[in-house]
Amino acid sequence: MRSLKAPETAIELHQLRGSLEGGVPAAMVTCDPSGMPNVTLASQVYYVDARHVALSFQFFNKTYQNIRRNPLACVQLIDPVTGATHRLHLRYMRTETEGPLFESMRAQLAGIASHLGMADVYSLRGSDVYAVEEIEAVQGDTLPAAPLRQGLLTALRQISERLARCATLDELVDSVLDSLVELAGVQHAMVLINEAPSGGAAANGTLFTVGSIGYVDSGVGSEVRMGDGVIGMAAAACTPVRINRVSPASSYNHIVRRETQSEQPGLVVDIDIPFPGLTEPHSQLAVPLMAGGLTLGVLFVESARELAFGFEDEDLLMSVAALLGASIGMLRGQEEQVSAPPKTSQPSATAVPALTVKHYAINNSVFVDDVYLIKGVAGAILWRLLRDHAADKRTQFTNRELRLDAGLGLPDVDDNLEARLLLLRRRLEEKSPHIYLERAGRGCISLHVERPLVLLEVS
Amino acid sequence: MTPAAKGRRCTTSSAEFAMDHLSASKPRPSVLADLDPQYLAMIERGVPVLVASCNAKLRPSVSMAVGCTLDVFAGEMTVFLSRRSGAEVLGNIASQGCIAVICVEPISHRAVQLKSGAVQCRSAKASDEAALARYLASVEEEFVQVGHTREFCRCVVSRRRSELVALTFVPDQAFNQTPGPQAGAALSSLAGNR
Repeated sequence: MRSLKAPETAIELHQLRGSLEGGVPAAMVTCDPSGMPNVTLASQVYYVDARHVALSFQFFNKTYQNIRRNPLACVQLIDPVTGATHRLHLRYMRTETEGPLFESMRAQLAGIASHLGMADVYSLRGSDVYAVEEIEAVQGDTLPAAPLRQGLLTALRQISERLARCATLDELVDSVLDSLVELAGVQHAMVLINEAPSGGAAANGTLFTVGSIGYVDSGVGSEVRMGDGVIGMAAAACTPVRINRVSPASSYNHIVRRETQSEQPGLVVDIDIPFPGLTEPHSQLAVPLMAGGLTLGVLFVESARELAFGFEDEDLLMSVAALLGASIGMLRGQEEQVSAPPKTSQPSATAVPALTVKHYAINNSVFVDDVYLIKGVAGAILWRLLRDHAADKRTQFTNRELRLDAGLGLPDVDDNLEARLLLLRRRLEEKSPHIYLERAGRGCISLHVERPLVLLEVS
Repeated sequence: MTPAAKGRRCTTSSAEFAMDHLSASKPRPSVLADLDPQYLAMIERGVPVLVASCNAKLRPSVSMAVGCTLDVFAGEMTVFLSRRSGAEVLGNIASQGCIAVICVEPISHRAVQLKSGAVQCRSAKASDEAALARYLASVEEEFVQVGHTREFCRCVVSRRRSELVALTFVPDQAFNQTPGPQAGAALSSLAGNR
């Protein structure tokens, strides 16, 4: 009589994600066609999906030669907490040299390389993707697992409830930043919006900061070029980018930190609002904000601690970003095209000194009493509003009329007007509180000017 | 049997390794005599060692050694594997005769790989106990230096002697495996382009 044996509990690859974090270096074995094994240390074993991992291809070494002649490989993983050991039996599938997986691994490798003091020589040539054919648990003693991180799902629920109550982009941005601090233990975070939302990977374009938390200066309006640093790469490749050991020399830490020249109105060509990020971050995580196949922006968190963000943090942030992206996308679709009756107002006082507002047509930069305020499309919008206000004291405007104004330079498709208005409102709050914008119902904005204005056009 | 296994040998004094691929060719000389003293010192001190092999279908496997000794005078290295956790590696070596080991210093990531096509297998003996204990103590220290506990280390490398197999071989190839562009470079003029 055959005995019934309970099937062994299958191990799922996602259960080993703690072992894939690199706490204990993985060992990788390949063998050549003659049967001679070759064992090396693997810089990265990257979780691709439930059935695939990717290993970094950096050098044309023996492993490179072997797997192209014999696709079988074996990787030993050790859990850095429990000491549990697993062997992954792998089959080489392909090498990716661009795209989300490659960019995500390249960024992670930059962190590993800087930790090893190899930032100058480590570069990713490709992501070797392997099918996981078998996961083998190695028999042996283990230590107790770390307690499950409590409350991540609860935090996600609370954040989703808060986001669901938001009716404007302002509220969404503030809510998500506050929630990450209050519920997810994040100390420094920011939301950046893509100037021109794009589908799929995008090499060009600019992201601008619309909100931040945990920094001395908000940095609202600061820009990151698509593809630059952790943030730019997350947007360009539509992929999470997580670095747990950021080196000052890392190529991912090259967001320009020019102490701004914006206070000098003579220099109108190169105006930068300082990026608000930490001076010496040691962990960074950027995830794309997506909706309807478009990359709307980036949600970014960072820490002064090494190893601050694990895969669970990445999962949480990706989920929050998905909610935020969907919410932003929904607001964009809901905007009503309202025609507001033009309202007018009188300056509240005549005794207060006038504000001098200069507009440089070359880049639509606007300065208030020689202090840089804004540039680009948002600058053009403000200049249009102020000119209309100067002409007939008008205070009420609609999104629709701004969209129809060809002189503002708004793109025909996905003009991102709400994000530009949010940026403009926040810059005014910080730099010129005597001029402010308010939402006046869906699709309408209200301009408030508390001091007389002198408008100067500089061509 | 892989092509390479035909010219290699794995001999055993233990009944459970019922194979004997005696080499017709003369064994190649040991690379230990030529190895940089810094690597010899590192291995003799006791650092984590991983043992790799592959089967006749070229499926590789790897297992953590639970002991390692060097006899530089004889040009031999002996690594100890658990029969339970290293069953596949041991079986492969028994059938194919090829072995590759990597010795790693965790704090510096300095690593060296040694290879051979001729392996002698035997059960661990009481006389191995002192070397095994010394190895474990040293590897514990190596793990502690990079932030792990001794208990963690014992989970990874500690096994009962009764289940251990000693694999003795003459390394005839040595490679620098410290991460970086030089990883894979031969460390001895005896080594081929591995």
